[in-house]
Amino acid sequence: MKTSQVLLSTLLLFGLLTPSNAAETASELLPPSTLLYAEIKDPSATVSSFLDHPYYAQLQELEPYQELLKQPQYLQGMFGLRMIEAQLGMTWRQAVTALSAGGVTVAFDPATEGFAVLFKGENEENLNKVVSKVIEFARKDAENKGNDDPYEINEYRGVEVYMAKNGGFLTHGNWLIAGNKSELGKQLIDALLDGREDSFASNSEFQNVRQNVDDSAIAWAFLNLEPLRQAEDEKLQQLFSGKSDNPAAELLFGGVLETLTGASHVSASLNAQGNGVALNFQLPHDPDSVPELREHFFGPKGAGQAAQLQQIPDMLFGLTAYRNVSEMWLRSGDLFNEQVNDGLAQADSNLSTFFSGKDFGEDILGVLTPQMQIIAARQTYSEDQPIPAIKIPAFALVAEMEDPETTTREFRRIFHSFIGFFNVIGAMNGQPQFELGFDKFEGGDFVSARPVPLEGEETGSDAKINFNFSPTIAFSGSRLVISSATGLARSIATAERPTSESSSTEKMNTQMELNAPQLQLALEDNRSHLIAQNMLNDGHTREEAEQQIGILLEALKLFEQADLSLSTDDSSLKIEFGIELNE
Amino acid sequence: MIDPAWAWSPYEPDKNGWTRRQAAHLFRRAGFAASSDELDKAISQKPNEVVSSLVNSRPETDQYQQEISDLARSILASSNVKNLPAWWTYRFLTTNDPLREKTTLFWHGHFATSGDKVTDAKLMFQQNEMLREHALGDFGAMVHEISHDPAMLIYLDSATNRKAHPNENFAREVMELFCLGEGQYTENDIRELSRCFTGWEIRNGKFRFNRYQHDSGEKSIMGQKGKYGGEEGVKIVLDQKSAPYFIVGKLVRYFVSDEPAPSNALLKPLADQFVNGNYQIGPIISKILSSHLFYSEHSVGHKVRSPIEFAVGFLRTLNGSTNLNELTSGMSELGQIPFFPPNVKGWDGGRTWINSSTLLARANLIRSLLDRTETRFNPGSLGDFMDHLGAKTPAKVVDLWEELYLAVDLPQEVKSQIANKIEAGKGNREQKLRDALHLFCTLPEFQLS
Repeated sequence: MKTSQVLLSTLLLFGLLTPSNAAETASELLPPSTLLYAEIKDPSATVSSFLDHPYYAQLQELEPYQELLKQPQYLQGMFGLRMIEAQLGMTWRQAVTALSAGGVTVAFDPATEGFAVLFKGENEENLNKVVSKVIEFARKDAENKGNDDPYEINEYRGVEVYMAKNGGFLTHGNWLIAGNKSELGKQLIDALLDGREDSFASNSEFQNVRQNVDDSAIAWAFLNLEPLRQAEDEKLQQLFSGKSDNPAAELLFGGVLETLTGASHVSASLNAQGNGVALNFQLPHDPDSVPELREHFFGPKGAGQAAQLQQIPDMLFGLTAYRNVSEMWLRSGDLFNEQVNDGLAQADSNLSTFFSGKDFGEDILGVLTPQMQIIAARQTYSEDQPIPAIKIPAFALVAEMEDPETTTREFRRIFHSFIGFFNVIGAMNGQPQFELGFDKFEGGDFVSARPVPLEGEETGSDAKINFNFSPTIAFSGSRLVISSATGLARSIATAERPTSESSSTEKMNTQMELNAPQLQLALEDNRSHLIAQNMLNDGHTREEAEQQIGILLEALKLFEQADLSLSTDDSSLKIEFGIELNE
Repeated sequence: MIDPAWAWSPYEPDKNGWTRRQAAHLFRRAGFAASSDELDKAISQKPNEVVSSLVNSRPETDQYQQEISDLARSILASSNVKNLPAWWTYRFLTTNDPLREKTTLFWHGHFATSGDKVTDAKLMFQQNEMLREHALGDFGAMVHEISHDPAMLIYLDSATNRKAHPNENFAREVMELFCLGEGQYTENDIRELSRCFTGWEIRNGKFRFNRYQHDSGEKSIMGQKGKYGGEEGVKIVLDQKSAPYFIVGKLVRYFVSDEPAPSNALLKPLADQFVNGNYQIGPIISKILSSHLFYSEHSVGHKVRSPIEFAVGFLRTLNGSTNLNELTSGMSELGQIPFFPPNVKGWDGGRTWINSSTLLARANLIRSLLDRTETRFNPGSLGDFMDHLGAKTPAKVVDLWEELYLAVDLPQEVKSQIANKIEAGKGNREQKLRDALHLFCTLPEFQLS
């Protein structure tokens, strides 16, 4: 035993044995107390897939991009880059490969308060070549500027550590490690030299997440929530308390806050496939343990499921969600603080008056099922009508009525009262009056209100913003559509309803879609206003503002769709944000 | 006692000639300060030629007018009157017809109307356009137009004026604030003049004469009797002897000096010219800006920069640009925001611009402008612009700022302190320059025009 120890020590001393090679992943080097672990699997491949993608070629063809290439700052930057490449004797993409072909990991360890970035290089030779050139370059640069040597070399167990102003770095084998705390640095060197049995890699939850990371993931991350939950930070304690104290936040994220109260960790991954990029978050979640308080979000026993999103031609935005708003309204006493509840009580009283004495929470919200949808679409305008100077997309709330026969009459009457009220208020403020209209379509009917232009203002393209609105309520069987514009109401009410897809395990709670070409057109409709706002807000000249808005509108043409979804299954809550590029 | 003959005789430069410093004084008063290039152009002409060009030419190109019109269209589309100040500030900053804008601002304070009460952006904008059109033109025509102006009548609660209950607000302001000044009329004159305006109404943002509500009986105003209507009533007021003194007196205080108030003897030559010239404003302003008095010790450095002059002048001098919504919001902290005068008397001006609170707000506004990434100079960094102007050393930078910005000389020790800030301040050169410029703008000398 003693002989073998002596032999091992001797081999280590002469560097003949390099235990560092035993560490395949950064997690094997990191301490078990690691809080955050984020890994980019292969940065050079990621960079290549972006730069070699046909979309990058398209981006380069855009006029604003071409203009950018002519800017002196760009040319100066490119000159500097070529200089560095000449010094390195390789292209910058080769340098990225040399440094990080095995991945880059960023980690934070709260025990030492240390951040570390761990690069696993292509091989020891190439890694050292790049690093030594960079050191040489930095030293020459400092010398030329009359500054001191930027690095002080320290040694720990025979490993040279280059100490700079705010941290240091070292290379060992094919690892390049940078960090800001020497304590963590020492632990990492110890792990490189000796290996470590109690590494972060042995964390079972981390292992589980790692095993489930998709092959298409470009990057992924693991965040241990327990230390954050224990931290004496007011904001963190608020986050993990499960309370939002904000009705809008509760409606949007109440369920996520609930899940955060008990989740041990959160994982994230960034995936690229085909024309799309998706960012996924996942938290452990048990549907059976959803408390009554959050049933408005997840449904009883977590079984609530959003309706399939209604599709209409040229839809700009769509959101479908399971939210029992009536239940949330009635449970507000338990969900929010006193101040918010006072405000809600006041709103409840006002809304009850507004809705002809009906109880807002019970008689208005309570007659609708929890499947709610919001749909928006760009509007088109007829030239024989006033065209508003600012063109706002139409938007609509789509809901299902529990008892259509009774509710239809109630809502129709309330809608009439609303329009009458708006007309009285509008008359007092010199706003256009609404004229009621009634129409039928196959399977339903609607009541609409059209703004009446003043005499002499029947046409024109500078009409008031009011002319974006023709409030409409449509009824089609159990479906209720309340829309800001008649066209959208008609479009939704007469559209073919999607058939619901049932899934035994995964339940779609919220789904949101944004159609980029329609967004581009909606912004294009308001180009002159965007330019004007850019001039006033950014102090730009007209030419600069036109260029900046032009870039935005051109860039949008590259995108097809953005979507966000929140779903649950038997063990997890998933949030996915995706962007799809144009074909 | 200032000799009127000397005061209004045309200014002739002394042996030092017509300098950039004097041209800077002219542009601070006749506009919102000038850039270095504008000063170079000005001194290549004679002083009276520069003034003549300021008063008589309409140099804004069709393209610029279109740009301004597009901006206004966007603002009006939002129907929010609170967006108008940024639009006008853009015009203050970018126009090459600065005297017209400066004079329009004067009339805006004279015929004070606030968006706070009118709330209709379109009506406020229409009034602004009307004031600009007449700013250097016919005062009588302007008073007649303001009498029909929907924003004005709404502001003075005169949108309805029935013969049974004549509304005296507008009649009182026509005499007291618009044409004659206090003490030049009786309460009976107000009552009688208000009868002339009966039947004048605003409906749906437009002026309307309701003949059924007009008092067509005989009125007695300022010693004249007749069955006068509103237009005739306004004409009687304009024909009063005190009217030209009141108007030219306000113009002299605006362009020359707030204190002391000019005597009637000093004003007489201008008042006579005003009457003989059929109340044309441009020639009076031309005479003021070309006069010995204007370039004398009675004028130079004898006004306090208004918040608009302070903020816009700061940027305009160095070809600056920034977030104009934030800028106008900052100007309100200083006590002046265009389209929102505090009351029917407009802004008091003069020494009232400065107190401990507004001085601090001035320093904070400059700091926030200098800290904003949107704030650019020419358009780029302050350092590059200073280099471009040949101010490559701290001392030269301070000399340049003094020449461009200040009406009075800075003590050498103060100049050294600022130069030292550029030399040995914190951060990179740009940061040092910006810190030094902030310090420069908080000097007492900077508050003077």
